[in-house]
Amino acid sequence: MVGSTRSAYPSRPSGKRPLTPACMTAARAGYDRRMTNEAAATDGAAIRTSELTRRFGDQTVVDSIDLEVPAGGIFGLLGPNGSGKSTTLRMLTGLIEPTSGDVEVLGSRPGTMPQRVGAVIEEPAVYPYLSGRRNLELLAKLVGAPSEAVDEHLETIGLASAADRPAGSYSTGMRQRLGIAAALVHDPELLLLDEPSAGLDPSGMVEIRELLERLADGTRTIVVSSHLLTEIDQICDRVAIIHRGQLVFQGELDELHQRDEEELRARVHPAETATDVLDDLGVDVHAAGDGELVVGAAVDRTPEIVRALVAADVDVFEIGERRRTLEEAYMEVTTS
Amino acid sequence: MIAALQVEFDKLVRRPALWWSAAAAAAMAIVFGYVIPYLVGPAEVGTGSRAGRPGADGEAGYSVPLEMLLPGQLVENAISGFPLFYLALALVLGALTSGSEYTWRTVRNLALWGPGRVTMLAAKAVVLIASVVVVAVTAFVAGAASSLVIALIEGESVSPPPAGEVLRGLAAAWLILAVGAALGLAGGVLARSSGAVIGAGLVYLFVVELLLRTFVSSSSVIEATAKTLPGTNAGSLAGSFTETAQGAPGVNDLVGTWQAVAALVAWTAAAVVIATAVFDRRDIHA
Repeated sequence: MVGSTRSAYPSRPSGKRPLTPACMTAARAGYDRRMTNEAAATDGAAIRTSELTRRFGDQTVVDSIDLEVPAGGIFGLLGPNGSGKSTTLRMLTGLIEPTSGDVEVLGSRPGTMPQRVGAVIEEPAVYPYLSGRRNLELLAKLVGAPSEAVDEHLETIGLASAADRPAGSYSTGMRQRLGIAAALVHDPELLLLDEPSAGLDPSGMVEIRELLERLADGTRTIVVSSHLLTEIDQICDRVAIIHRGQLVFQGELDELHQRDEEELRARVHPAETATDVLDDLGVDVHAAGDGELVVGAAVDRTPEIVRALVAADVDVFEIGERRRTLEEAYMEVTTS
Repeated sequence: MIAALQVEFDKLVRRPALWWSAAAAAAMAIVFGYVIPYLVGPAEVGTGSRAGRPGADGEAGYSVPLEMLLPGQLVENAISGFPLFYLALALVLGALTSGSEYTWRTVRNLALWGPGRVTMLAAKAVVLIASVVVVAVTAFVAGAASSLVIALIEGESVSPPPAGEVLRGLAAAWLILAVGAALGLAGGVLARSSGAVIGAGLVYLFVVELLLRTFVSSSSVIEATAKTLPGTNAGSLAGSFTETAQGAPGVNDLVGTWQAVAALVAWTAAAVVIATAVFDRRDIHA
């Protein structure tokens, strides 16, 4: 099951929280560069792969993937551990070469535009004997980013107070933040993040999620690879699911949530009476647990159903369209 | 390229390994170059406090004449430690410089953020090879200080060697360290780690090359092979400064001075070119 791909994609809706003023100052040079380079992206796609394949010996880790990531917004790359997500990201960053197939990142060969792409692949890599600030300063110097950006990004990711400590003494979460700051230091128009929440505690995960939402400011494209379904569900507009090296779905997140058959979910009391009423209306109904009923009817029958239930003296606490959870959709897609 | 050089320089000068190498070089220069020979060696020259000590009448011992321990023979004494001990030190530093980029996975950063893999590795090699001059200078300075102290104790001349000789000695020492650092750097890239390279490199320098040189006289093939190797050429370059220290570990006279210089330059260049080519073409899985 592969979702339909379109040539033009909607950008993430505006109205996101803006970057902090300090971060905006640092980002200005990069923002101007992004606007200038935007035309270079092909057909509104930040990333496009064609039959992208990578083999290690006899093992095909990534198998003929045709991926298209639209410019702007947050794109989720879902898949279990070992599904080929990281290998795909490594090919997108130019760290490894594909065995076959084509890759275009911002209209160019991967790895040829360090100024326009930021990435954290697997765990962040830092020089342990250098401070967090010095690690960022070195990377900023390499990509020609203004040195003021370093302090501002340290502030943005909440590492300012530990900036002068050796990075080797950082916790996993602090390293993760430092890695994200490093990927942002030159304000890239494309950000590739492999499991950005790995090693973070729940509050850290929320902070990273909020940060990513702030960073997806309409012109920037963020690709987040994760096996955490809730993370992807909360921040992404579009997703691709990779399973055993193959792309088994790509499309809008909403497409995944939609069911093939329309269903309603109703929380009512008493459930037995409600079931009898709905049987009389000729709709399929079954208990979903926790006092919920799953009703086999389209959304436009909701008023009719509510009227019938109320007339039968059934208390209706909640009724609405039943969407698949991402977990359900994921399991369905990967086992079909 | 300028940014890459600045970044590599910044990383290396802040790295404790460079300064530990310099400190180790100074310690070796003092202990093995002066303190031990002074304490156990025979007093063949001079009439100071060492007269009459064990070994003075040709007994077995570490035979270094006192004149070798005086400031005038600084270059001769200092250079004798380079073909083996300091070459190994430079190899370790080179392996750490490139290998730890894989251990820490920061090699990714070089590839992702850098101006190109070739530029990044070339910058690393240039900075590394330039920086080992610190190790050479430290060893010479430590040697000079030690020889001065011995000269004052013994009441001998404190006249330094000619400046030109010191500069030539430093240049030779730097070239020997450069080949070690470049080989270590290449090994680190090829092995994608530093530990294995350090182990293999030390075994090669301290066992393989030394053993091979013991069989030079018995086979022309072995002799021809030995004359191409980095350790042999480093030993010959050091040997060109001294006759007294010919018995020092690694020092030899198998190869002429300029041939040794050419061979060491070739080894250094080859190591850097191979490391750069491999780094440029190979996938980065770190």
